Amino acid sequence: MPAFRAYAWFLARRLGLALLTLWGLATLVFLMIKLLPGDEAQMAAGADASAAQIEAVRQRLGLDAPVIVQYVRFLGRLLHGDLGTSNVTLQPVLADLEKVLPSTLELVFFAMFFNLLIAIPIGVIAAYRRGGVFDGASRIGAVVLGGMPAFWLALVLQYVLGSLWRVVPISGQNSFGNAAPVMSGAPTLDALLAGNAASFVDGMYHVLLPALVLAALFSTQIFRTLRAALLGVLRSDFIIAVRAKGATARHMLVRHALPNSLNPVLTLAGTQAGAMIGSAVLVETVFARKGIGAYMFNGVAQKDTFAVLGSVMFIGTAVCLVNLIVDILQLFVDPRIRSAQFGGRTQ
Amino acid sequence: MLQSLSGISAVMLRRRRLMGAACAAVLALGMGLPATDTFAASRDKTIIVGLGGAINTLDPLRADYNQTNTIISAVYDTLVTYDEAKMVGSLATEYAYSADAKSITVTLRDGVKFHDGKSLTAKDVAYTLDRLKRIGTGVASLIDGYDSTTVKDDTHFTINLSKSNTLFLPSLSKIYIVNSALVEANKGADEGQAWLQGHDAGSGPYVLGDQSQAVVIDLFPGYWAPEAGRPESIVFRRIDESATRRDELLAGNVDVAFGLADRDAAGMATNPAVKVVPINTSYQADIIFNTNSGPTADPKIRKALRMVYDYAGGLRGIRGSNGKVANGPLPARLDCRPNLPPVKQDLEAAKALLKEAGASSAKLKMSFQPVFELQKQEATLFQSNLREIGIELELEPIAFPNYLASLKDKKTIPQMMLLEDFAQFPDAGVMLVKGYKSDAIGTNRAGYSNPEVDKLLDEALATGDEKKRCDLYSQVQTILDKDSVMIDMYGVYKPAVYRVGTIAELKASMLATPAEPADFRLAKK
Repeated sequence: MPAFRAYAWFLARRLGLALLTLWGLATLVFLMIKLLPGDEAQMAAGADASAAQIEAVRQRLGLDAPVIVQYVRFLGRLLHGDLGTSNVTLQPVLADLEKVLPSTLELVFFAMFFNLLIAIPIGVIAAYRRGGVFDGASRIGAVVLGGMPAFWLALVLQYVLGSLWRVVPISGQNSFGNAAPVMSGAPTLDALLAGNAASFVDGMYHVLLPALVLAALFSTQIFRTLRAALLGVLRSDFIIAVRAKGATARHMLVRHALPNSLNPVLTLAGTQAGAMIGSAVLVETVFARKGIGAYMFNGVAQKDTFAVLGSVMFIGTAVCLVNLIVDILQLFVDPRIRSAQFGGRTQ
Repeated sequence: MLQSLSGISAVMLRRRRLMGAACAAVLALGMGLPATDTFAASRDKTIIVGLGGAINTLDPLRADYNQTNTIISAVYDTLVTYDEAKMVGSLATEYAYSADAKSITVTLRDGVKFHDGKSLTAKDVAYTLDRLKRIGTGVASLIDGYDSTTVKDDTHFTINLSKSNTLFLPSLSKIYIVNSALVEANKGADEGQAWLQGHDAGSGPYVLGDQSQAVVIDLFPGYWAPEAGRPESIVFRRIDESATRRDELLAGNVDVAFGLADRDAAGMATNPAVKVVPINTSYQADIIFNTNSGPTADPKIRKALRMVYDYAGGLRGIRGSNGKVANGPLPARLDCRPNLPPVKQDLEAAKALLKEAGASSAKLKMSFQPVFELQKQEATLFQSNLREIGIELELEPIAFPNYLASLKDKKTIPQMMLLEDFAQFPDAGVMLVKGYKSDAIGTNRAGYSNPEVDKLLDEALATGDEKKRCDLYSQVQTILDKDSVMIDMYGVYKPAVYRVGTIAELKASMLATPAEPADFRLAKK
């Protein structure tokens, strides 16, 4: 029972912190949008609208109320799960997000997959062969790749692999006539749901390069974090004991060293998931993919307050949730953290 | 224990083999199975257009958004339209102003059907105009002064205006007529705006099709003015990056690309697989002065500054000769323009005039939109031109929403603003009235106020005589030129590119820039 109470208290504290973070985020973004130059009513009414027309739109959208009243109204709606209505599309922001979000989540899912798929093996080998050619080359590679702007990398790879060598599609999410009927909004998932293998392969073919580009920058962070953690673990006494028992290098690395080095990687991957959604805008723009990034970009350009707020709130909630899940996972996988959090109560 | 020490157990090996086999099977199936065709037409009867920018809505109310207008111009019809710069009837077969230009009588074309089969009548026109008036956004700004519509019968009606306005008829070329029954049935709480965002209530040559991956429009077989050779489907793909549009075009995944960067278009000029078309509509690059306050309120300073810019060098070096040096405040493709001489760079004369105005060492400021690369270069060129005569120019980046907000007050209008402007429809009056009438707060970008110009424009708004109106517009432009309200730099041609063998030709449109999809004709019949 005390263990249950300790866990419940931990969860409640973390949830409270997440809500506080979201409130702070909502307030900050609301103020930033209000401080941005330009008149929301004019943007909604059109560039050539007369003063009377702009005022009419201002009243209709409730923009004539003092900013503090608009803020309180916004928070009130937020509590009811209403992200507001876009001034541009005139749709509830939630409905707009439903259309664009699955595509972004698909991209982020595959990017995270490649991120871990590339960074973990390279990090393990580099740490094991510390000071060797592979280690040196991978560290230089990480620095070079980590310093490349995503936009530039996307354009170069798109040109070389898509336009010049034609090994991947240049842009888009499906080839002409190859899209499965929309169910979720994520092309590969829709293809699977429709049982359309051709469409699935086509969707995968289209998401491959954007996901690799998005993964490239993040995988350098995972690589560096994992390598550093592994180097520490490989110097531990228990590793000497495992080797003394006759374990192969592969077994020692995979079964003993890696699990003990994954904590910082898990934490980092959690924060990366949120950052990836935010970074997707550049990749989505270059590869002409639907997504929350492009939606948010339009929102800022057109001073569409609720579109921007809704998008940011969504990304913020996703980051908070992922961090919460990572915190809970760490409790389960690492007894050291469990001990630090609860002392001897749960042992 | 032995198994685990060796790394991989037999069970794990079996699992891996199974996974591998499953992946291979999916890939093999993917290669072999036929694709699901979500488009109505085959590829050779379909034209794929690559364009940049968000397609926010397909509600004809928002025809002021360029992307929206391009697509809906093929889905909806208007009462009047333009053949080059000449207004002609479309749904309207006859139209005439009353003597005081406070009403317009219209005869509607008979036998026009909406896409759902319902007949288009005068009631639909009245509903469209009333709806616009109620909502008051988008193209509603074009029908400012609309009062009501009196419907006589299905094909005859009178539009009543609250004041004389001869700009009303030309404005109707941007007002798309909606199916009143359909919009009313899906009205919701927002006059059907949310519904029209993705649904069709038009009578145009194309119906709105699938919108899951891109916006698709399909040929409407019951259109009242059928034309042979129209594509069966047109797909609009949003591709924001010009380089990506270029590459997709060269790869054959896109047939027509709009809004390409000049450098991308220039790179394709010698490629026999594509044709580059410089689209000459009504775009003109200008530097607009604040004529109301600050140093540019002095006409002598404005006149001097007009002689500083390197027009020929800018057009050749920055625009790649995609345009023509301007000769007047309005774009060259509009009618009713006086024959004004183009301004030429003359640094010595400019220096002398500035000295005469006591502004030999003036410090000036110009705003520009840094998102437009070419405008950034033009701003820098002007800065260096001014430096040659000892004038310092501070360049201030500005976002378009901020610029629009600054126009509310003449005192907050930027001292100079570099802009590319265009006419919503090819009528000189719309640019002059919105741009230079003293009471046009918010659209009068120069903060210009001249009783003589106001009087001439009021007269033009009230006269039904086309020739007289044209003459009045010419007089206004001559005054504006004499007053040096802006540095009219050059008419700008926007390059569009199409794959040879896909469409027969690319015709520029003054209403839906750069081109109307309804004008596309397949190269192969």
